[in-house]
Amino acid sequence: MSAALERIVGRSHVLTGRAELLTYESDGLTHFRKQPRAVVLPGTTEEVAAVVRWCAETGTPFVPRGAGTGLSGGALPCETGIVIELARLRRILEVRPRDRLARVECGVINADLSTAVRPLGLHYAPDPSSQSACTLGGNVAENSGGPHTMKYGTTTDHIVGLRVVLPDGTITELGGPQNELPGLDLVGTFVGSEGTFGIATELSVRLTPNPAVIRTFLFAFRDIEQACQMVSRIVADGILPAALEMLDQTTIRVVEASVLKAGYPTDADAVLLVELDGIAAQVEEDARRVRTIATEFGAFVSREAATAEERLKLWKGRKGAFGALGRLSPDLYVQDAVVPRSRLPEVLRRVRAIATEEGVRLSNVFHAGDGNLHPNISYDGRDADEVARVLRAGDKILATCLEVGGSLSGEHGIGLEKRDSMALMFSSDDLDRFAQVRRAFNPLGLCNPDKVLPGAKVCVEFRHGISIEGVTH
Amino acid sequence: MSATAPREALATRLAARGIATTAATWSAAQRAALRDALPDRLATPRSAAELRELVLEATVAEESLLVIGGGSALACGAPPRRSALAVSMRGLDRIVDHSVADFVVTVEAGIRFATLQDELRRHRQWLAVEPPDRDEATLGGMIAAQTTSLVAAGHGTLRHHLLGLRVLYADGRFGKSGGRVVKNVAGYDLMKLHHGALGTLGIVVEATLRLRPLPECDLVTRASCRDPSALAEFGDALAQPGFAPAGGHFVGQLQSGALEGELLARFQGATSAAHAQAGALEAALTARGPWSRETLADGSHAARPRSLRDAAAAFSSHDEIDSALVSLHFAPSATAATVAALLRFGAGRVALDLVRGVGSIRLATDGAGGPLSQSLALGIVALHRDVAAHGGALFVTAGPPELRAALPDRAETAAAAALAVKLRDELDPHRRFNPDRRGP
Repeated sequence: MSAALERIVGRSHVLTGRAELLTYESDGLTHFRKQPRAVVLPGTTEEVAAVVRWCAETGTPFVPRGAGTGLSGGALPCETGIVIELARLRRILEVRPRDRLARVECGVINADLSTAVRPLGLHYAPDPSSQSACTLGGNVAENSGGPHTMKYGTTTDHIVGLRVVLPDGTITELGGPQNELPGLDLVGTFVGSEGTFGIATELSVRLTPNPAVIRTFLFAFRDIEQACQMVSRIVADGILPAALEMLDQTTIRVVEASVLKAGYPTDADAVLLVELDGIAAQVEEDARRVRTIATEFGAFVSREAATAEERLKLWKGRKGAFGALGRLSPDLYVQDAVVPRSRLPEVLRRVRAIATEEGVRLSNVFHAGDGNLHPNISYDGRDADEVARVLRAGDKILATCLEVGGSLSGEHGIGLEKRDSMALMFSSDDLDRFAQVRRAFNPLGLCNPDKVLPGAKVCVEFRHGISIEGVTH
Repeated sequence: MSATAPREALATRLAARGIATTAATWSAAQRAALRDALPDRLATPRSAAELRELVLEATVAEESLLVIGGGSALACGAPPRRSALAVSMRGLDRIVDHSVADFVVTVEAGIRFATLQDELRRHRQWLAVEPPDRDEATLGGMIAAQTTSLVAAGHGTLRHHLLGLRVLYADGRFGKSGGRVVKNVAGYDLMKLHHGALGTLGIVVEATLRLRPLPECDLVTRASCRDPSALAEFGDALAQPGFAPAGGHFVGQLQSGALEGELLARFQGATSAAHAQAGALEAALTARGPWSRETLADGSHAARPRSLRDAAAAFSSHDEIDSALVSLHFAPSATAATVAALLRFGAGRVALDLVRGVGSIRLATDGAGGPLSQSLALGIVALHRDVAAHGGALFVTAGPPELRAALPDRAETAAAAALAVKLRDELDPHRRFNPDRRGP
């Protein structure tokens, strides 16, 4: 096998040693670990296509991988197959400032694109918390979001064209740089397919002008429900903030005890970060109204970042919160679900009750404007009883979110983690339909098998040795 | 077997199940657009269950269906094969659920856009799109036809507001994708797949949509324009920091190497912000004035300034029978070159979204959907070549066969076209719905 792959990509770009493969045995969801037979690192679209053609000819399953920062096990290898690691495709091919477009290879790091186009007064809007490490190709696979999706949308709103390698090795263009091209929207269908429809090797992405004015506010509340109500009022009043982010007390205290110390009031039950951006007159008007609303809902601290450094500090605390939570325990289970915004207070109450019931340590840091919750459970994976309680709590939280009309995932994807929970949200007819669409793209089923849709049973090894057959967590 | 026997059989079968069909009446514009493909009979199911029965009967009778909403986009896409029966979705026109607090609404596909907006306006909300055929279009039809929006520069098209769909497939089963929340990555994004599919993969029965608060102010500032160089200057100005336009259009007429029309910039949001932007634009383009400003009231097109109604009419695919419609897609950086190509081409009514690089050209035919003149047909080929040389593209939306022979009706590589066929093979293997409208 490796000889054939080496002929395509060169000897130094095929990894087969057990130690070399360790890096690839999981993605950001470290519950699940598997070693592939090999990892291949192609350097061009043509090499990707040749590797994929070889897979099709030999019936070898393959898993595309970007930076491996995904949190749903979407890049978990298949033991009988190979991983196609795309980090070598990392060139920014073209930037067209007047058209607000860039053409990039899939391995470009999300934040690097914004850095590159900043002198042109532009940026790439989707900004997942992992943006300093995650790749744009991975973002396409997961339809990644971030704190600023409330105003700017998710990845799918920023991809206009793709060069893809289909699972039979065919290279084709989908979409293009122009707007509103007539025909089936295969770009929109491909984005968010979690690597099961093929490999996007080149992306035409929309760039966003840097706003003329950015103002960032911190509001602290004695009661998280008041903070949630303020979120609903902001939206109802016709204000469209760039971001509306919430941290609960546990998260606030952990962040404040870490190197990310952002100046969040540690006696607050919740902190709400509100960012307004756009043209000066609009931001001025919105800021006035947001301050009024905060007073009305009882914010006991109301503060605006006075400098760019202060703004950065507020955001570092928010974006680094997941890392800071590592102070609480060796392991962190990051949940991702969405609820209608108006149900946030009720769902947060119920999530807290679930944590109490299961005796697990819960914290919340989330995209309040989108209703996208991230209940995090800190635990010690060496404690089998605690692991079981964590998994039960996770299931209950998901069930609660679905019960109020929510979704299994807002941005982390289904991957392997939530694959078998799909039946809680979709009927068997719905799932059959998804399978039909996948079959059209991926008829042999070799491209990232066993992800997204329930069906084939898999046996996966839990990080600390608990074998879980056919379940999601 | 005769061509009519099974069609009668389908109507008879439907009657036996209590589903009435009536003689279909088609407007002159619809006849011009679809010619022989129009069925003689029409059914208007009143519920999703009745629609499902109808589809199952069509399956038994091995017949295809022409599914229509408001009928305003029937000209779009490739000419369909003749179907046994037209199915109007206008009987499914309810608002299923409106969560005012969450800014989310679920509607049946046959609801008229204008009806929905009127209802939403009572709650100071709106679906942030403005289709050309505001008063006729249905939501299902807009999804199928990927209808453009006159405020797309600020809010995107309907694609950006679709949160979920319920679709009836050819096998008689319903399928749901997406959901009722504003952010959701669970399952494949079949909303995008159906958006622009012209109903060839399934019948959209319900749609869930994201809403926005009504803007405090909706302002248009406009100026007459006869100088072709003004178009690029206008687009460039709106791309500067400090502007967040909802729309920026040129609407006018091309004739003998000259153009005449109006530039329109649209600003929405806080009153102070909308006027500040309009003022800044007018100041930046003083020489292109005089500019006149007008605050728009939300409502029917009839209440709009003439130039906005003209913009809508220019993008509309059905308002006249003696014209053909071509869509134009160009890079904003190539606006000057595209305008020069249009001037060389020289005839027709044009509407150009100068912020996004999307436009439409309406060409005169000899009436009643008849042929284009030979010079026009040759001219359009040259225009296609000119526009493509600057990275743009031209597609036929509606028009006679010689125009369709000159231009493609969709953007697809061979591999993407093959993929589209595979998707149809999976979802509608017998081509039960709108056969051929998006290719074989």
